[in-house]
Amino acid sequence: MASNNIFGSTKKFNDALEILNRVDNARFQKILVRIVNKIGRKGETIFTKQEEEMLENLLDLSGSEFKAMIQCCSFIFEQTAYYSLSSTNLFNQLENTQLDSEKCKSIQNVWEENYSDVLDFLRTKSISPLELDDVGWRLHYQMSSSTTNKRQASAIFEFSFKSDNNNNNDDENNDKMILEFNKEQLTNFFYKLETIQEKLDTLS
Amino acid sequence: MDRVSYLGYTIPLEVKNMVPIVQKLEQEFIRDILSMVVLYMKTKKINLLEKEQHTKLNQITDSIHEKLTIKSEENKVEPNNSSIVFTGLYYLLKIAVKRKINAQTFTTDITDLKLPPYLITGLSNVFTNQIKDLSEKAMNDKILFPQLTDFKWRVDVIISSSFTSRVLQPVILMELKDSKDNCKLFEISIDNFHKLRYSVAKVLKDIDDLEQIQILQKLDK
Repeated sequence: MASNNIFGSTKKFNDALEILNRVDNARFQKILVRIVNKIGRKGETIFTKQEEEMLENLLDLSGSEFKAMIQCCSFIFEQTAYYSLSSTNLFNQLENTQLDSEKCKSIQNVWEENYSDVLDFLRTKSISPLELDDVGWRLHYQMSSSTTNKRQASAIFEFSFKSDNNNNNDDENNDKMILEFNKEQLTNFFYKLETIQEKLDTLS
Repeated sequence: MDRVSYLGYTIPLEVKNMVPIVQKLEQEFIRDILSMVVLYMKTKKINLLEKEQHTKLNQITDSIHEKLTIKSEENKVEPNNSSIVFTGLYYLLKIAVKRKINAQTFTTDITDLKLPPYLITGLSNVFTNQIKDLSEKAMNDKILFPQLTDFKWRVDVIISSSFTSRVLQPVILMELKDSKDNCKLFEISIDNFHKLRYSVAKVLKDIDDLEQIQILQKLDK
């Protein structure tokens, strides 16, 4: 895989590398850490407007140059994540570009430190609209009711869901499901979960 | 007499009101009311989940009401009185079902109410024949949160995604349907699945532990 160039060599990319080469290395590394932790988190901005302005002044870059730098770094990490490159392979890839070796080393170091977190996050990232987020339960013992004095245990489970469009939370109740089980029902449910576990066991 | 009647220290007003009235009414008429009470108890439900059941109960209550009025006219009885009898008989049976008393106690206690002998035999017969059905119904009939009615699942392995070319991570899809016909289709990560499985197992164990506690076993007797 190392033989193929995963970054391509478009004009835009090469221009951005020129900008990268001009940036002070100590600051560059700090910026990289910020970028790498935002990979795959859509809708989250890497820098606030204020920070952007400050950094542009510090690094002596124009607004568009700064933007190009951020995009270029994100692109490098996204590609690296996509191919799940090791840091050594990443370094080899970067050496084939116009980036100076000091910057290549910085990128390699940042990747080395963060890759397991980033990859774990990307692998488990779901595109399903509804995802189970949490399970809560409460166990009851019924002492008496309006119709009978029969005592029995029952459990209430609450499933909370994480929905994709949590920005427009118009209906809170929609993201929860409450179910009541008596012992027999719960046992049946447990056996079904056990079947799933068996299937999972055959996979690993 | 050391034992208190199953109706309690004070006889419920509904039952007390009925006693003088039944003395005056025709046997046949009261038998009819009694069979209507049983029918009512069998159809009544706290949680009417399906519309069908709802309409059924409405129909039955309507027809009972109608019959009561007609019969009252036939027997030249005030409709109000037949309602009082209906309510009184209903209370007698309802409390008996709730207290889980045996047939012996039931007969003794209603005899103490000084009801006409034919009514005592009638009630005892109803009690011995129907108690099993009625108490089973009472057991199942209670206010409940929705229950799980359907559970489907699928285990997948993600091969690749737009984020990484090789993922190879199992993921589970589940569909839960509850008794109110709410349906949820969702994905569940392996970690969360383990959490769910653990919770269910834990609750089951807790229920088992709970049932072992001596004092609760004694309460149930």
